[in-house]
Amino acid sequence: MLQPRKTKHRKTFKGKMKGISQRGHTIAFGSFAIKTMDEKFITSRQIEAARIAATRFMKREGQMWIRIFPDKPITKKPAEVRMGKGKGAVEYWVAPVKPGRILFELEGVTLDVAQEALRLAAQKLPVRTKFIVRRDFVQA
Amino acid sequence: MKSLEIKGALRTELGTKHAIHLRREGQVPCVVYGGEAPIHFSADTAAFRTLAYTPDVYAVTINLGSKSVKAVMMDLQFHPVTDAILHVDFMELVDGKAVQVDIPISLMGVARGVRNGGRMKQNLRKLSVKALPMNLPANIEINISDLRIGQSIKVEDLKKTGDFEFINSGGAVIVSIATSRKVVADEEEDEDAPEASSEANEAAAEA
Repeated sequence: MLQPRKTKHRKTFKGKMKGISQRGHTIAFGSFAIKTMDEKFITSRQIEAARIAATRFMKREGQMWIRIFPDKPITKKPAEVRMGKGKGAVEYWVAPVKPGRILFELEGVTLDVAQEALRLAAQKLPVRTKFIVRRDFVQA
Repeated sequence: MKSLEIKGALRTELGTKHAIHLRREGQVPCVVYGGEAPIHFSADTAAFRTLAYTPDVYAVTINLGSKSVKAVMMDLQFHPVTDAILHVDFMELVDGKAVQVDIPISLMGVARGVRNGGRMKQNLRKLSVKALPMNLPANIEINISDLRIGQSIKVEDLKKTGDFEFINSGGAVIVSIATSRKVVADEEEDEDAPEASSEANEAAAEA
């Protein structure tokens, strides 16, 4: 699963997710992509599950790019522990996404295969997604 | 180069506030630069259907009522969520003044390496070309039928077919054929180098 090798700070604040994506909202590598319509934290487990679902359908054909990285640590206190005594331990990592953010890109497969592969990937994600095609894509 | 005509209206009031009003009315704010002075105009969203969603470069005649301007599209801005066209940039085509335009690459034929099971990877879909407006090519055709596994075509390998120059770095790879698990032996390739293949077989047998 994806997670940073090293971090400047072990734990972070929750933060706020306001507005729409100001970067990472255009297709950069492939011909097909899915973008999020919601703002949410996407966990590294969800990203990995989506990646496996898509690549399994593509049967090792084509290439896939993951356009988000879970670099935000989420902490959690153990069960049955009283409040206080400091912040909990890092439990998992998330990628905060805002509407418009490209999540996955595909290349080297047909439009139908890409559509189905990304549909399967989207089912593993906690956000509504939209399938998009590169604007100058021409179907062979 | 293909041509297209767009009917537009000059914008007198500029700025974000007025651009938002225009978009609400189904218009797209546009600008033409590269001439004497920038011209701000707006056109109907439907007018960009052909222009925006194609790899082809069009020589666009912008009809602004009193005058018309010949230009090429330089940049497009889309809304991050709705993918609606927000703004379009045009570069005016002035006779005798060279322009730099991204021209689409069209690959001709099926690569020999792909027929043998290799995987084709196209790194560049467009090439930056600098030329006078009358010399701008519609597309750049590259024949890849002789490309074998492990080979690639770079910008410096392209033959000059017209009066234009490539702006991209000469070492930039346009298309390459990578090996894959499905690779089958190329018969002609084996005939070319029988000694090399026999040596490889011997080495494999020893291992």
